[in-house]
Amino acid sequence: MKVFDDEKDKLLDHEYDGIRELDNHMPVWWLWLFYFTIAFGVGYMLYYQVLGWGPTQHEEYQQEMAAAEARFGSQEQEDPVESFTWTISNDESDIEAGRELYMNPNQLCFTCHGNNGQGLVGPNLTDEYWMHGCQPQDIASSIINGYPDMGMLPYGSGSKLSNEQVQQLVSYIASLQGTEPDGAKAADMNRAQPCTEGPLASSES
Amino acid sequence: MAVDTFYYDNDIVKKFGIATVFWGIIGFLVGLTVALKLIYPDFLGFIPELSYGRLRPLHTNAVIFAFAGNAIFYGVYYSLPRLCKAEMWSKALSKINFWGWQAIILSAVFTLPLGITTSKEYAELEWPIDIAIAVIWVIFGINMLMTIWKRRERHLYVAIWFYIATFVTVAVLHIVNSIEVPATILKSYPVYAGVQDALVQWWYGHNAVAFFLTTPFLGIMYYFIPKAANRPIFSYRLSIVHFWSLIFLYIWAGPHHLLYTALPGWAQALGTVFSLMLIAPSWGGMLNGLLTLRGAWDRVREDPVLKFLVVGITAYGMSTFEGPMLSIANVNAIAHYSDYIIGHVHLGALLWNGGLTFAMLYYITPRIYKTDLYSIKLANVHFWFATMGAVFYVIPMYWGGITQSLMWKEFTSEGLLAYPNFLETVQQIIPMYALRAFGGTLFIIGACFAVYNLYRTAKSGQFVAAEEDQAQPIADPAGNSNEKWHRRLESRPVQFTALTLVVILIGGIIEYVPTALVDSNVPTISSVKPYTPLEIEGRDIYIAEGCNNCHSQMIRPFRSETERYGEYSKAGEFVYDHPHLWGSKRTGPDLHRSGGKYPDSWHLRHMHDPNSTSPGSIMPAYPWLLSQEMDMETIDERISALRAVGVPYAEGYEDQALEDLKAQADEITQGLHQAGFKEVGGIEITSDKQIIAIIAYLQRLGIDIKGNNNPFEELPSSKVLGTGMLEQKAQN
Repeated sequence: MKVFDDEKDKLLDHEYDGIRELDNHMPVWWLWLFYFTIAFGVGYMLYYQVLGWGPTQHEEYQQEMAAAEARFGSQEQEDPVESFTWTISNDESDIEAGRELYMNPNQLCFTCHGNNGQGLVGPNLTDEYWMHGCQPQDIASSIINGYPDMGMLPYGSGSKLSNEQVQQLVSYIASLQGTEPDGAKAADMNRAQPCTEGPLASSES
Repeated sequence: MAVDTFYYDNDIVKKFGIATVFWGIIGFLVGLTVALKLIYPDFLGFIPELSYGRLRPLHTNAVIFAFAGNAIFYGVYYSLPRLCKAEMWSKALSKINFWGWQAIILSAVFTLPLGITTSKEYAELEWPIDIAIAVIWVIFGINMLMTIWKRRERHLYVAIWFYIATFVTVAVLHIVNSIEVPATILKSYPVYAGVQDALVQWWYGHNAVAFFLTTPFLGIMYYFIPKAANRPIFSYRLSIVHFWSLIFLYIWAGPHHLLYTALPGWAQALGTVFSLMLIAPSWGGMLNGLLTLRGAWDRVREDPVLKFLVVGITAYGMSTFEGPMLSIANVNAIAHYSDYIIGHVHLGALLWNGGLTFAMLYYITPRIYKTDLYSIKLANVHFWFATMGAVFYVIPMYWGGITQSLMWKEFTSEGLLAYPNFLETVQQIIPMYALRAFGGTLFIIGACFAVYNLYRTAKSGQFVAAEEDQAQPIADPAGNSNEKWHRRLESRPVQFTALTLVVILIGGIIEYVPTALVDSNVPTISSVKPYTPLEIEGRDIYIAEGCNNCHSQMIRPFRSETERYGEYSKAGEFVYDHPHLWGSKRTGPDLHRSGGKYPDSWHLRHMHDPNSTSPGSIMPAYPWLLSQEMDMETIDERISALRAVGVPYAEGYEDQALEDLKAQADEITQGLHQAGFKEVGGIEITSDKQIIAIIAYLQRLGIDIKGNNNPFEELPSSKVLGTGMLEQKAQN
C-alpha cells in the first residue's frame, strides 16, 4: 500500500489481505452534520408529536379546505342551471364548437354516447326518447351535474365548462335529433319518455 | 512458527460472476421492455404473461435479487476468504448456495409472468419460494459465519462487519415480512392487514434497499477501493461510527414510504426524522471511500475499476442525500407516487449497485484468470455508456415526475382542478418516458460491451480454480485483553453478530408493536365489512395482474386528491385487506374510491380496450379477462385461509362461498346483458369469467364508509346463516 510521509504516524497496525487503515479523525463538518440532524430529529418529534404544536396531517387538510372555501366559496351554492337562460342555437359555428367539445378527450362525451351520438354505454342522443327531460335546461343540467351513480361525471369527466360552452354542447346535441346513425342504440323504454314539448318535441306526437 | 497453506475456491466466484452478468442482462432487458410498454402500450401485444403488471415485478426482482444478489455473493465469496485468510468453510454449502439461488431466480422467472404473486413489492414471490429463500439465505449465512469462525486473521475487517449485518438483517426482514397463511400450493395471504401490512411491507421494502443494496455493497467497497487504489482506508474511526449508526438508524426509516397515508402520524414522523439522521452515516461511507483515494486520483482517469468505483460511490452519496430530502413530508407530498421516485432508485441501482458490480467484474476476472483485462479502452467506453445511460434515465424521470405531480395539484383561478382528466397528465410526460427508454438502452449497450470484454479476458487467460495462499493460524485467542473495546469486539464474531442483531431489532419493534396492539392507531369503522367471495376472487385477479404496480389505493388528505378521487382514505377501511394494496406509484389514477364511480359496463369496455373509454390511455388491454374463467374451485380454501389470518367469516362459511359467488356473478352479468352487453368485441359475456369478479371488486372499493350496507345481505347464504355469515365481532 502506498502511504504518504505525513500519514506514517496515523497508520494503524491493522492489515487484512494487504489492506491497511489510517487513524484519521472524522471530518468535523461531518460530525456537526450528524449532530444537527439528531437535534433536528428530536426537535421535530417534540414539535409535532410530543407537544402537539405542529398540525397533524388531518388538521393541515382542514386548513387547506377552509382556505379554499374562503377564497372560492362553497361550490354547491352556485347553480349555473338556474342562473342562466338556456336556449338552442342553430348557428353553424355554435354547433361545430359543440361538436368539438363532444369529441374532446377532456369531456369524454363520445366515449359513452358514441362518435355520432348513437349511444354505447350511455343512451342514444339522436332519438326522440329522453330519460332526464328534453328542455334545453334539462340537457344543460344533465351535462353540468352528470349522473355519477350511473357513471357520468359532471361535465362528462369532471372537467368544468363555461355556460357558453355548455350552451354550444346542448346545441350540438339538439342538432343530432333524428340523424339515425349506424348502430343506434334502442331506447330503454322503462326509463325514457318521448319528448312532447319544447324545441325538441317530436312532430309526430 | 507454523504456516498453513490453503486454497481459495475461485470456481464458486467464477460461477457467481457469470450468473451476475447473465441475470443482469436479462433484468435490464425486461426493464427496457416495461419502459417501452409505457410508450407503446401494445408493444409485444396483449399477452397475459407479458403484460406490464406482471413483467414489472419480474424486472425489479431480476435486478435486485438476481443481478445485485449474485453480485453480493460474487463479492463476498471472493473477499471474505481473503480477509479471513481461510478457505470457505464448506464447498458443498457454497454450491448449494449457488444452485439454490439460481433455482429461486428461475422459479421467479416462471411464477411472476404467470401471475403468481403476493403483490408485496420486492417480496412478490409466493410462500414455497419464500421458504426456499429463507433456507438458502441461512445456508449462505452459516457458510459465511463458519468461515469467519475458522479464520486465521484475528480481527474482522470493516467489510466483514457489513457482510454480517447484511446476513442477519435480511434474514429477519424476509422471515417477518413473509409470515403468511397458505390457501393453496401457490397462493397465500399475509397475517398482517391494511395499516400493519403496509408498515411491515415498507419496513421490509426500505430495508431491502438498506441491507441488500447498501450494506453488502459498502462491504464490497471497503474491500475493492483500497485494493484497486492501493491506498489505506482513510479512517478506521469513521468506519466504526458510520457502521453502527447506519445499521441502527436505517431500520427505522421505512415509514417514509407511507407519509400522508393512513399510517399513524407518530410512525410517519419517526420515518421522517430517522431518514434525516441517516444522511451523515451514509455519507460516512462515501467519505471513507473517496478520501481513501487521496493520491490515487490520477489513476482514476485510466483505470476502469476505479472509475466505476468512484462514480458508484458518488451516486451513492447523491442518492443518500436525496432519500432523506424525499422523506421530508412536504417534499414527499410532491414526489411520492410520481416518476421522481423511479429516477431516484435508478440513480442508486444503475450507478451504485451497477457501478460497483462492474468494478468487481473488471477487478476479479483478470485475477482469477491470471491475465490482463482484454481491453481497457472498451471498458472505458462501457463506463461512458453506463454513465450517460444513467443520466438520460434519471433526469427525464425527475423532470417528468415533478411535472406530472404539479399538474395533479394545479387548480384553476375558479378553484377547480386544472387537469381533472388524469390522462392529460400522463400524456404530458410520455416524451420523458421515451428519453428514459433511450437512457436504458445506452446502459444495456454498455453492459453488452462488458460481457464481450470479460469473455475475451477469460478466453485469453488460464483459470485458477484453487488459488494458493499461506498464513499463520491465530496464535493466542485470548491475547488481546489490552485492546480497546471495539477492537476486542472485532475479534469476537459471535458477540459481534449478536450485538448487530440487537441493534437492528430495536427500531422495527418500537414502530410495529404499538401499531399492531394499540387500538387507537387503527380506529375501527363499523360499516366496513369483509369482501364477498366474488370480490375476493376479483381482488386475487387484481393482485395476479399486478394492477397495484400502476394504481394506488390510498387517497392522501390533500384538497387536490379529495377533489379528484373523493374522501381521503382512513386506516379503518383496510382492516380486511390481506395484503394491503396501497401501491407506491400512480402511472394511472388512484382506485380507492372507484366503487360506484362508473357503471359495470364502463369497466367491461375499459378492461377490454382502455382506449374505448379513455382515448390515449397507456393502460394495456386485458381481453383475456373476458375469456378466462375465474377460479371457483379454491374459493373455499381461500375463505378458510382468510379466516385464519383474522377475517371474521363464520365457521362453515367456506361451504356457502361458492353459491354466494355465483349468485353475485349472475346478478352482475344480468345487469350487463340488460345494458346491451351480451358480447364485447366478439367475446360472449358470461358469469363465470374473470371480468365479472374484477368488476365486483372495483365496484366495492371505498364504498363501505358511505353507508351501512351489508354486502352479504342479498346473497343466498343469508337465507341459511341469517346475517351471521360474519362472526359477531365484525358486526359490532
